[in-house]
Parts: sequence; structure tokens; C-alpha cells
Amino acid sequence: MSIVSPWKQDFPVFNADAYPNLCYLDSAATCLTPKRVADAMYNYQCYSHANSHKGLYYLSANVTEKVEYARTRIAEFLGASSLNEIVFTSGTTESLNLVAYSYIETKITSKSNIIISAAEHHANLLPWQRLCQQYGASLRVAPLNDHGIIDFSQLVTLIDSDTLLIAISQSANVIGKFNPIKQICQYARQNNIITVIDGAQAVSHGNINVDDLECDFYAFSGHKLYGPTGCGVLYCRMGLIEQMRPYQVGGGIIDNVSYQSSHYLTGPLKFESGSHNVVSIIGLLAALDYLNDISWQAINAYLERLSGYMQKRLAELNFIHPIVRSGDSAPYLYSFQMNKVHCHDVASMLDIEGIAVRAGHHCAQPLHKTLGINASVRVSLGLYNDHTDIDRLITGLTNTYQLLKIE
Amino acid sequence: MTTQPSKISNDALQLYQEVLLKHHKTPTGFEVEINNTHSADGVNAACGDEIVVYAQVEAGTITALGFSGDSCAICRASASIMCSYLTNVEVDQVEAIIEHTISIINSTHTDELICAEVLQPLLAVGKFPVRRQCAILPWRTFVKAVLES
Repeated sequence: MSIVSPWKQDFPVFNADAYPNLCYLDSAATCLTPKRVADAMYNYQCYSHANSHKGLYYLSANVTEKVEYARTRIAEFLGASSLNEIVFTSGTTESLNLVAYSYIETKITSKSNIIISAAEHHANLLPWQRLCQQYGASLRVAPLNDHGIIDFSQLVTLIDSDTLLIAISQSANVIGKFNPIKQICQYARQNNIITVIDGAQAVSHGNINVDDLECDFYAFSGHKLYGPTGCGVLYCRMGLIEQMRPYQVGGGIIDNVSYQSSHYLTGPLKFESGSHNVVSIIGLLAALDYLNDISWQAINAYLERLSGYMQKRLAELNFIHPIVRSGDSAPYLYSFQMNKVHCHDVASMLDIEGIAVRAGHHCAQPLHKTLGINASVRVSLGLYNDHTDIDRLITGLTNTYQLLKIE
Repeated sequence: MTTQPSKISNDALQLYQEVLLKHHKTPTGFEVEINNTHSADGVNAACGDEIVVYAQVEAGTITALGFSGDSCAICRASASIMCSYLTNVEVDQVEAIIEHTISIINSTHTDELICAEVLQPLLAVGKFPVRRQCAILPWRTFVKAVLES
């Protein structure tokens, strides 16, 4: 079967003078960078850079305009109703911590409970775990079904009148399948429960509409979307920002300060203290433009087809086992174990052949313990992958098993 | 479609040498039962290696040594080598031996190194920086079990 990426040439890492033979299967960790994104960042830094939101001169005003334009475009991308619902952060981790300490901490009591799922990345576990420990609240864990998807009916049984928050991923980083987020958020809203959605993995599928999902918060990182690291986003539903306090304070977020008191700005700027990471915001905007120009329909059609091929070829290997049951969907990642071969050896053997995969617990130790394993190998797809990458993976896995299997 | 194994690269065979693979597949000291006087857990959080090293120390000498756990081939082989190498060694001598072994694992200039034959399979690991921590884990865990207890 021939599935050839029309976009691989957009990524300079595959150039002859870089890594022409790289088989990169770790896009769930971070996506490679298209030249268009790198160029936009280079051009901004060389020719347009200044401090945003502070300078009273043309260069700075121009940068402020770029940042606010990016905010508008990201609001559109997420289906948010206003740019005032969009906060720039350093990434998903900061976005989730921001919600924890700017908002949830002001509401939590020893009677409260917070619900997460069994599949959460540590970034969407530790902030809630710490808050619960600090305030004597309880952290409840919604189980997954055999396919690794949050079981809505089981989750509902965890909810009571003291449930303060449901914090779950739209698509978990080890499993990759989509959870019934809309159903959960609608139920939560009917019961006055706050919802936080970790969109770090789902964002690379596009087609997000936070209004339709009815979530209160949605977090993602730019580098999972072919942008740079260091730039993330937190969507806060209209009206919530005014109830939140800045958890990190400093320059640029106040309208009046005395030695004894301060009055903070309204809107998202009150969470963006210090200087904006403008070059990363420019990179994220360029990535959005790049993806929009390709079209999400074309991206998803291609990756679904390639994923289908990947799942089919991996299913042919009787010495590897997916960590959850495969289903009808074709997520853009696949996590597995190899019979009696440690995950680190699998990744190491593949690396020697120029194939980059992730091995370990993928910042989801509790999930692995729940599944009765210590670690797994994860392969994940991006725009630059094609059928030859899958074929190389299959050969690499076969060789690994041949060399390292214990009879 | 059945995929047949293709030729395994020399780089892979350099790391997973025959002797090292023998230690991995038939390890010395793996899950052996001894009257251990010392034990400790070791974890390599980045990749998921988990090992328990246990030792029997009598009159200042390591009389028996074993390990258990779920760890990669490099870690298992290194633990197996350790079990062979440290048995019947006096505790007073162990610290220097382990420091020397770790320096061998960390070295990229293996041609210049002189080391005991039993340690030879570990020489290749130095050329694979991300695997050094796997090879070192059993030795560090032994230190934790016996020298720091």
C-alpha cells in the first residue's frame, strides 16, 4: 500500500544535511517544525522584536497587535466566542496549574471532591492531587472501559453534591482515543460542576469547538500543533476569568499599585505577567496558518488512512500487544508491549535504525499501574509520516524480537 | 503479511553483543534464593527499569548476591555481571570496584581501558549514552543496599 506524505518536504529536519533517514514516530510528545513556522519565528525575532503591551512606540505597538491578533485567531480555532477567553501560557502544564491555583483553590474545601480519569497525564493529575492534599479534599478516579475510554456511566456514579471539578483529557496521551467529553461536560454543567479539559493530544486533530463541548476550561500546547515549545493556551469560558485571581503576579497585569495593595487588570492579561513569549506566539500562529492552508479535512483524512495502515500492520505481529483493546477508531498513536522484551530495549533497537519512538511510562505512571504494567512503547503519527515509516517500524520490531526474545 | 527479520545492523549488534545477550537471557543471580542480609530497590524512572538487589554479607565478605525485577536487557545483563563479579569480594573493596565499573560504563574511550574480562560486555554501553543509566542501575542499587544501609 502506498501512502505518501505530500507535506514531508515542508519539514527541514528531513533535508539531506540534517536527518534524511529519520523515521519520527513521536509526534504525541512533540511535533517536528515546518519551515514556515521556523521562518516566521526567525523573521519576527530579527526584524520585528520588541516588548509587547508596554512600549509606547511603533515597534512595540506593532508587536502588541500581533499578540492580540494571535489571540483572536486562537479563539476562532477553538470556537471560543471572544478573544477575551484566551490566555497565553507556557504550555498545557502551566494552563492546568493556572486553573488550579487561580480558581479551584478559591473554591475547594475539605468536603470537596475532584474527579479525574485513570488515564490522565501527570500534568492533569498532580495539580489536583496537591490541592486535595492541601485542603483535605478527595480525588476520585473515573475508570476506563476495555478500549481505554472513560466510562461515562461509571464516572457519573462518582459524582455527588460535593463534586467541585471534573478534570479529564479529551484524548489521553498513552491511549489516543477520544473520550465522551461533550456528554461529560453537559452533565457537569447541569450539575454546576466545573470542567477542565486537557486538550494536549486532541488539539492535533483540529475541529475543536469549546462552545459546543460546553467545557469551562480547555488547555493545550503549541508544540503539539507543529508550533514551538514555550507557548500554550488556556481557554476560560466567558465570565469565569473575572472570578479568577492571578496566581503568578508581576509586571503588566495591574492598573494600579501602591506599596500596600494592587488592582489587577480585567480579562486574560491579568494572567500574563512579565513579558510575553512573543516569538513562540508568532510560531503558534504560523503553525495554525500552515495547518489551515492544508485544511483539517485533508490532514485528518490522511492521518486516519495512515493510522489504519499502522494498526493493521501492528496487529499482524503476534509478539506485540496493545495496552488496551483496539477498536473501530484509528487514533494517531498506538501503545504496546513486546513479549518478554523490555520497552527500553525496543526503543533502543529502533533508535539504532533511525526510528524515534517513546518508551517508558509517558508521564502516566498511575495508568500503567492500573493496567498492571510498568511501561509501554508508544508510536505516534504526524504529517510527515508515510507508509515507509510504518514498514520500517514493522521490520525494526521484528528484528528486535528476533534478537532479544527469551525462549 | 508476515514480516521476516532483515539483517540486524552492526550498531545494534555492537550494543547487544553475544556475551551481553547471554547474561540477559540466562542471568546469574536472577531471583535466586539466598539468606540476604541487605537489599534495596532501584528505579530508572525515565524508562521503567525496576530492580531489587539483595546480598548476603558474612564476616565482611559478600557471600551471595541476587536480583529481581522488571528491567531492560542492558540492566539485567549488567546485574548478572555484577552478581558474578562481586561474589566472594570483601565489602571493603567493593566501593572502589563499583566506582571503576561505573567509570567503564560511562567511558567513550573504551579502547584505552583495561578491565576484567567479565566486565568486557559493558564496554560497548558507553557509546550509547541513553543506555548508561540502565547498566549503572544495579551497581548503584547495590551501593544503596550494602554500603549505605
